[in-house]
Amino acid sequence: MADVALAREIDANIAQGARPHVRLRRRRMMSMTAAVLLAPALVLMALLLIGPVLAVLLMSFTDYQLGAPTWSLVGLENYIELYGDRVFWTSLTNTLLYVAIVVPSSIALGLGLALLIESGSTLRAFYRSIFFIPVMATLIAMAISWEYMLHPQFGLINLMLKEIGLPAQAWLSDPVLALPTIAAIGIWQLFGFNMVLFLAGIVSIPSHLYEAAVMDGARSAWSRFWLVTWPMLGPVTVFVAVISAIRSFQVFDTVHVLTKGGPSKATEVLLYSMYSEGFEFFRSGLAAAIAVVFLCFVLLLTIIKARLIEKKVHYS
Amino acid sequence: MAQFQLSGVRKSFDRTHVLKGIDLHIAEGEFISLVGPSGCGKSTLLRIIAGLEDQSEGSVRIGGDVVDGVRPADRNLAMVFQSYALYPHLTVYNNIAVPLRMRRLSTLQRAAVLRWLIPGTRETEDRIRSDVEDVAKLLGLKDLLQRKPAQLSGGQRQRVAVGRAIVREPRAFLLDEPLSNLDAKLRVHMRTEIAQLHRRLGATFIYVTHDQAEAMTMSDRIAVMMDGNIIQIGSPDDVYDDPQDLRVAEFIGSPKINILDGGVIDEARGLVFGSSRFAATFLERPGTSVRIGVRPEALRLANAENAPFSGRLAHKENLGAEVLLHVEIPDQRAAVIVRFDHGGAREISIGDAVGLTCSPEDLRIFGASGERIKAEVEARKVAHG
Ligand SMILES: Nc1ncnc2c1ncn2[C@@H]1O[C@H](COP(=O)(O)OP(=O)(O)O)[C@@H](O)[C@H]1O
Ligand SMILES: [Mg+2]
Repeated sequence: MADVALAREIDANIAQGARPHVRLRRRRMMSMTAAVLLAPALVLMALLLIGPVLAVLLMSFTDYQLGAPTWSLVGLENYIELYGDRVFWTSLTNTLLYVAIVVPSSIALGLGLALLIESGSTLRAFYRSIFFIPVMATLIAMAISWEYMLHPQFGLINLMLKEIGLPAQAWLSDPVLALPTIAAIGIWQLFGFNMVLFLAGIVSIPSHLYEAAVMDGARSAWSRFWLVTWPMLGPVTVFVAVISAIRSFQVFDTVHVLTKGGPSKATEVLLYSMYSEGFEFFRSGLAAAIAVVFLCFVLLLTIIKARLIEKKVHYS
Repeated sequence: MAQFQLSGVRKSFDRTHVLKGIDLHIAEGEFISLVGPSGCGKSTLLRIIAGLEDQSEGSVRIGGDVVDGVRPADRNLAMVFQSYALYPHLTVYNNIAVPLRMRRLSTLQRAAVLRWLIPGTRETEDRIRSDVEDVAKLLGLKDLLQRKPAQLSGGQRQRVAVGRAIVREPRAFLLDEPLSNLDAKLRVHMRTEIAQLHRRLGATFIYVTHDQAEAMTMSDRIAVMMDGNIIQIGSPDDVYDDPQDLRVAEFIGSPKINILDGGVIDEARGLVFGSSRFAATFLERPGTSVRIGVRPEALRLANAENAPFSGRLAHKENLGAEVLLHVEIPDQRAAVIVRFDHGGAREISIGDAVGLTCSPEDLRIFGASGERIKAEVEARKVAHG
């Protein structure tokens, strides 16, 4: 509004044949004000977001090694090396597999719990807090307690399995079990967050829609869920799915603490590869290339989210 | 189609008593309105009939069966909500089809992917299509079937809500202020449409509204509710002409009935107001002070010197077809409103002294607590009728 008014004033000045240099001064002042107001945000964005991303992108085209005095441009060599590297492909597959396990499970679990909590009449706040604890806990610390629980001989989980007569498992050292185990911890860490988002979504569904559904003959909770709840949660679900996917792509802490990518690369994931290339083998250029691949996935997800939320799942 | 019998229905939320003992019989095919100021418990009563709310006490019978504890879906009633409650993600076609799909298709046949593999789905969907299209034609929604509710105007949404209710054959229609979100002109138009729909379907309609004009224009019978009680029930004419309570008299009719303080019943059971006396015989102890109700159209001009009611013209409302005079009478709380047909009372202007009179049979007399005091003529009529 303010700038519309200002523009009008300027037009009025023109109409009255105001002297041109007055007009110019005003215009310059206006853009100065805009620049001053924008500056803090622009500087912060450049410093914290765009700068580092550009630096990583640039670094991925060099042979820079952490601590090395010199570096030179090598073009796409890092990417070519990644393309031919079996470990990179394992790491990418593992990451995608991890995302494919964690995202649907944490959504289903979060939604299921939200529905249960919302349909119950007592202790809602209690359940909400209990299930939200894993989200707030520091994952590194939690990973260590998981390590105790998953210990092959003395871990709580194997002791319990033995108690009910099932064979103990080497959760973290069996190549078949290791990634699903890490994924289970990922689900445990994420579902409380999704649950809270779903709870907010469920609360905002107008109750008269359920009443209409009941009058229309939706006898079972199941049919009311598909007629009202699920479609009305569409926008929330897309949001939750994308956030969960991005967070799952970032899996690192648990791998770092529990398996170090092993056994035999069974839990090697993108960010862990990047970490070991960059900070164990000091090949910063290659690590930067992995980071760029990672960023591409996150960008892709963000675009999908923007598209979906704009188009399909908006009803108004 | 069905008749309804409500007996001693009470409802409390926590400690507030919202319904205080409702007895109501609704005949088959009847159009009944529950009318009253907002907050008097109309919606709650309707929701109890629908089964969306459980009564605290009393029972509801539909078609002779006690339905207490029967789920809403099994009561086979259709409801039109004030907010319309359309499914925002479904097209108009699918919104109207929902009640049919819910009743005619099994859970598996409604499932998204495999439904067409189950025998019978296609045939049922074809029948649903023709039923939905019939309703769309009836309500003039044919061109809107593929739109989402967000792309419709208020009036169109209201029609879709009605369509969703009439597409199947429920035992009765429950409507909760279906017109209150429409603009005044459309509301008047829809009154006619709903009344015609009722005649066409011949089904029982239970219609909730706070607008007495809607109730008067559409209903076979009106139940006037106040503070959780039905205080009068009868045909629109009955309720208008013979209000049993001051609150009914004041609620029904527009412009409102005139209420004058200061009437007294004299020794001969006539009514004295100021220096005038009305010769009707009222069934009340002599000396009782009463409030006098008289409808705006029952008042006539008279000589200001000796008319029972006299005052000054404060305002004149010309509405085209009718003229309303606002006459200020000394010691009365509100101006008395007099209604004339077009062209009436031309010669009177603001500030003039105005005398008003009416026939004794047009007086409605109320006691101190608002109860109606009958005149003997009426009492005799009742005794013979
Ligand atoms: N679920 C509820 N919980 C508590 N009070 C309610 C509830 N529903 C309605 N009421 C109260 O009951 C009274 C009657 O409400 P309602 O039947 O909606 O009135 P109306 O439809 O006549 O305007 C109101 O005072 C309202 O505040
Ligand atoms: Mg209401």
